[in-house]
Amino acid sequence: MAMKRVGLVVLAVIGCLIIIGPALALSLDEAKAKGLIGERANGYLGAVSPSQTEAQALVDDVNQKRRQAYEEIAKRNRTNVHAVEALAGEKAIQNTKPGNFIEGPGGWVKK
Amino acid sequence: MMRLIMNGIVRRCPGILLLGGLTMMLGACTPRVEVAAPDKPITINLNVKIDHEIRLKVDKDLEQVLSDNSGLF
Repeated sequence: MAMKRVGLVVLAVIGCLIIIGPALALSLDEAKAKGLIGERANGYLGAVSPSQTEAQALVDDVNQKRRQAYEEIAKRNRTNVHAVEALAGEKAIQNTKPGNFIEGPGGWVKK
Repeated sequence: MMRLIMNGIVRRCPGILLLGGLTMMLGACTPRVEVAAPDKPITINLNVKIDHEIRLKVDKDLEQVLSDNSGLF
């Protein structure tokens, strides 16, 4: 009888974690505000510190989605994807909030 | 011999001498036409890899992706 209760509690805890789990993951805005990630001139995100694995995972995920979007735009406008990437990088850096990181010629700098 | 000739010309036709003198002086003042290359080298910007119209369209498309809704920026 006690085992059943323990089992139920464990299930409940796991269930709760599954529900609130996504909320615990790092959001893009949060990562930027915390200085973990920054915009690069090539239109993609970069992790400011190589040791931050969660930030790196976020960066990889978003970059993959961005790459798809850029390729779509390039195809639609019959232009080179690199041109789209460069333009996106320009705009992204422009839109970066002051205090967040952007990639400069010498490395990461705060805008 | 030369002196005789010269004296003869000077005495007889001073006007011609004056004209001759003036022409020679003016001849020395020919204007100089210089064809020189400019000091600064002529630079041609070859960074234009994308047609202007296409750039505008791409810009518009990117504006959508960059907006908050996409979750990518």
